[in-house]
Order: sequence, then C-alpha cells, then structure tokens
Amino acid sequence: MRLSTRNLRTLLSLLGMLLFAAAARGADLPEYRLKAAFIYNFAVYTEWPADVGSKLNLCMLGQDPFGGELQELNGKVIGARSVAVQPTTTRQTITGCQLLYVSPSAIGELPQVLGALNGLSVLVVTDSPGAARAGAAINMAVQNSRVLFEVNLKAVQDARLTLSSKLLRLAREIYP
Amino acid sequence: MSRVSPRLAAMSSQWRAGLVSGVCALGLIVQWAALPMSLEQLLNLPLEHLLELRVAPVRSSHIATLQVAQTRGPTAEEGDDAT
Repeated sequence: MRLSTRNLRTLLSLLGMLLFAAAARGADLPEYRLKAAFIYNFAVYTEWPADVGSKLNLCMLGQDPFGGELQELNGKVIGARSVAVQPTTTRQTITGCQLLYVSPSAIGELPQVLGALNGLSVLVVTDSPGAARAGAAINMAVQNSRVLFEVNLKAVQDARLTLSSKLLRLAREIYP
Repeated sequence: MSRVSPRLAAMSSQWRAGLVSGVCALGLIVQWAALPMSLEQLLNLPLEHLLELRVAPVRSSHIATLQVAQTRGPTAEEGDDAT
C-alpha cells in the first residue's frame, strides 16, 4: 500500500503538470485569430446606411496577416446582410467595400485610402499604432497580451456609419 | 519489505493500472479542452469576453503604444487645417 501511495503522489504531480501545461497552452491564442473575431464584432455593432445592399464586402488591403482566418467569415450573416470576404483588394477597388482592413504592410497608404473613400460608407479598420488618430475608424492594438481597440468618431460620422453604444463603451480610447 | 499478501498485491497492481489509465485519459481531456479556441468559438463569445483573452506574444511590433506618433505620410490630402 505504501507503494501505491507513492504512486498516487507521483500521478497527482503528473496531473498537476498536465493541468499547468494545458492552461499555458490555452493562453496561446493566435493574435490574428482573435483580431478576426474583433473585426466580425465591429461589423456586428456597426450600422451602415440603408442604401448598402444585401452584401457586406469585407476587404483587405496589403499583406494578409490572418493566414486565412478572415476567410472563415465569408458567408456569415449579420443582420440582413451576408459577409463577402474579398481576399485581394487594391486601392482602385476599395470603394466597393463596406469594411476595409488595412494591414500593417499597407498602412503607409492610409492617407491615400482615406482620400479615396472620402464620404463613402466604409468602415476602415487597422492595427497599426497611431492609425486611429490618422483617420482610421477603428484601430486595434495589443497591450499586455490583450487586444483592445480605439475609435475615431469623426471618421465614423464622416462615413455615415453608426457604432453601437456598446462598441463605444468598450473602446479603450475615443478620438472625437 | 512490505508485507502484503499476493492477492492484495495483485489488487493493488490492478488499482494502479486503473489509476494510470484514468490519469492519462484525464490528461488527454484536459489537453483537448485547453487547445486554443477556434475562430468559430470566438465568434460566439461576447465582445467583452474577447477583450479579456490573451494572445501569444508573437509580434512585438504590435505591442502597443496607443500614444505613439502618428504614422501619417507627408501628404496634403488629409485636410489638416493649415489656414
């Protein structure tokens, strides 16, 4: 029986280590998978004008950091619209988007992008430092291993979009 | 050394084998449960919950400083009020 007790102790230690390893592994959520979920939520909590059709074109400008995760949003239904992910977008085709993600690789083009979208109902989402101040409607960032976002209210209003109060409440920073 | 009857020793051995199997099975279940959530699972979470989730520290360039200098380029298209 003494042997059994020792074994039990060893096995419990092993279980403890397994639990620890599992907990540590659970924390390793890929950054861009989480950001894809945020982008989906941004679309959920944004109201586009009625003249936008039944499709919600989700476009990406620049290199794709999502590794295909964003593609999984294709066909999701948000309100009366279904999401259509447009994998390749150029500056010439961005006017057909309702939600435009500008990746860090293309962030240098942001001023030109905003100029081209002037007055159009396109929610511009970025994840580059300073992008919300520079005119992106929503900018994501990672702080203390958590994703947060900031909102440029003027950019939202200029695009004739309405963000839900919940989204605004959860934003880390709102630029007027 | 330990004075146990052969029958008790056999039972104990069975018990140990059972325990090992149980712990291994439990370990596998825990590992499975702790896998990173899929995007589909994330989409079902409320936004408040997403804000609490931790990401793997991969890209240091994204460690964020919300107050860093603007990244805008030197263009005149942005409508800076230079009156």
